[in-house]
Amino acid sequence: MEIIPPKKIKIIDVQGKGRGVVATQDIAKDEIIEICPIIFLSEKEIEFFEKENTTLKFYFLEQYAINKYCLMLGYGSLYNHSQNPNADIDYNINNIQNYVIFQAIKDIKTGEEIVFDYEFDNNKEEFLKLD
Amino acid sequence: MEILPPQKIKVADIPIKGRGIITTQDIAKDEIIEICPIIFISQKEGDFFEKNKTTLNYYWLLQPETNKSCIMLGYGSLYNHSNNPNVEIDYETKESQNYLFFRALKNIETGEEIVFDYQSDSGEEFLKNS
Repeated sequence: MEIIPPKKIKIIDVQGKGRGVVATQDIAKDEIIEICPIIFLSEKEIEFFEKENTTLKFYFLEQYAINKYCLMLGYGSLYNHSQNPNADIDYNINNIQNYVIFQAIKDIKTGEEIVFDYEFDNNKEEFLKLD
Repeated sequence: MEILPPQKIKVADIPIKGRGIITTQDIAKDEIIEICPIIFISQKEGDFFEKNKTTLNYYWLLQPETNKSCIMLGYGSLYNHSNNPNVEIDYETKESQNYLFFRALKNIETGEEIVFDYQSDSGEEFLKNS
């Protein structure tokens, strides 16, 4: 799998939020924004992050549908959270891959911040509803 | 600080090595290839990775000059190691920043793999080359 870096985003400092990702061009609904390579993490690592409340606790992604944890490279770890997201994360649940896909769920205009729902609640059903 | 994704590289599967980074266009000596956002990690995290030989033990980077450890986002964590590197990592040493950059040490042709020297043995080794 070859991955080309995204062409329509940049990283900026978003007021009040720290770093974030914004669109540098208009992005259409359903368009793939970025394919992020991922590093799978072990349960041991996750337990440590949770227990020690470390920095990485705020970065790892739980892939509920395949029961795995990962760290997103590319810019996946820098998208901020929103309950009114304009992007979501997709991945192949039948054939496990070392990347995830950020896809627009609405039209996104140049300069808009790209945000997704972190789904903190650990509710698998909630997550699957989005797919 | 605004960071634009790199435009002259891609991630590819390199025979035997797993993932790696190759150029999609020619890159000139001294050119900045990529600015990578980084996540600083604590000493505690670094120690844990090392002691338990976890996956992340193979990914985190110590910045010897600032004595801080980090994980590189963007594609920084996917560049492979070589003793004969064509790029190096540079970062602001006086005021630690949440990014670092990869700079070409030589002219790199389209399709070449981009590699840097992990200098995994000691901080002194790292400083010798800077």
